[in-house]
Amino acid sequence: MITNERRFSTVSIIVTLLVVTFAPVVGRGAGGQERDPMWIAPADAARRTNPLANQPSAEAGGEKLFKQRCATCHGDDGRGSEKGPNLATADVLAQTDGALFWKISGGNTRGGMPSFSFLPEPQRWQLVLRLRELQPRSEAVTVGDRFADPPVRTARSPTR
Amino acid sequence: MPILRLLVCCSAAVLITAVPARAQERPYFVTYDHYLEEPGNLEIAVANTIGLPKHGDRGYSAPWLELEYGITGWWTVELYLESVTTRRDGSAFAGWRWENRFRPLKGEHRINPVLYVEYENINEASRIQKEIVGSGPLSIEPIAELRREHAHELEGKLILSSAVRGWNVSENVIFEKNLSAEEGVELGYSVGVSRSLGGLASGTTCYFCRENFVMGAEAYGGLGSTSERGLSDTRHFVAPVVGWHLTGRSTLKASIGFGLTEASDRYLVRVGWAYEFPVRGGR
Repeated sequence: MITNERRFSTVSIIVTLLVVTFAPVVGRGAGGQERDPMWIAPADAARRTNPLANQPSAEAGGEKLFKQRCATCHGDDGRGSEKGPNLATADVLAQTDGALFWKISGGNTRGGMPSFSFLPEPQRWQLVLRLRELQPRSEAVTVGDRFADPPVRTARSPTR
Repeated sequence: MPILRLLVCCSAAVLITAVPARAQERPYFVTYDHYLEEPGNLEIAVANTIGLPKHGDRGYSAPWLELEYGITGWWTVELYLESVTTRRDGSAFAGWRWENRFRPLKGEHRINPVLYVEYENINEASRIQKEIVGSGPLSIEPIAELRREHAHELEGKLILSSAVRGWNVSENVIFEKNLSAEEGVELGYSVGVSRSLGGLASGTTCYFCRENFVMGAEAYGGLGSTSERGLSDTRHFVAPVVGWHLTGRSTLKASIGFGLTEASDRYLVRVGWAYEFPVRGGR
């Protein structure tokens, strides 16, 4: 029994050391600034429209949720950090509300994006509202023009 | 015990200097869902299981410290340090557990599987009951004797979890093998359902608003072992659970488990507090 215990203790220590040594290395490869080009919302999910699109009162809640759930990785202004990519870019903002909602809900474990399906559905739509706020006014027209096909279904007019 | 004290002090120091991140602590104590720790985030949790047995047996309190770290989006590790104390029987360090959870699928599915592997270096005084497997009631021998009986155990779980119309529904199947003894594989289960009480998030900071609360219930118990077929003398509990997101960083949760069989304790009262923050990257 004593021999067995010593053997297990040794194994435990070795395994722990391995994890402590390699975890940061493995972790560095996850998330970060890179995007997963294969992470595309299905067509039916992308077609969904934001039920809160005409409820400006919901925007403040979206702001709060963004700070709580997203800012750690994407920054308070959504422009990214070493943990998560910039969200205020044309390719992100050209996506439909439905596509953004689908990505927030399901996440992408390979890319380091957590799943937020534990949030009530209205709160995930509030986050989509907040993402739309990231769009700079001057860029809005450009984005709308560049991604005219397929049509951009946003909570707000892209020319706002 | 000095190790525990040191860890608690270090944890307190880290908490004071940490930057915000929203805790996504599940309300369950036993059941696991498919939400892993965010990559680069560390969650420190302290919790306690208070057991109130039947037949006038000694009650016990089993506090534990839990460190959970998200290595990647699909891999989370946890380290547990546990202890136990009884009313007239003193206290003891009950051992440690090292847990890994892997989420093999990339996105959200109707049913989301998670694979769980845990190594436990504990003694027979362990009472936290993070899972219940096998059969038979807890031993009522003195703590001093129980702590001398060490066990090296390997535990596996298949976690299946779904998000259904605002509800989380999770089922866990548990397999545990005591590597220190010639016995079969012990089996157990846990199931849980929960949901957030909130709908739309308010734009202001609030403590008691519905969006900060998650409520649900879980049921867990042993299913015998491969060497002892049958469910006789197994322990089963059903427990309502509640989670309260106190701040952006911390969650308080509690549950009262009601023993359903003769071998079960009458009640298992559990309270836990978790604090999550990024330690790598982010801002």
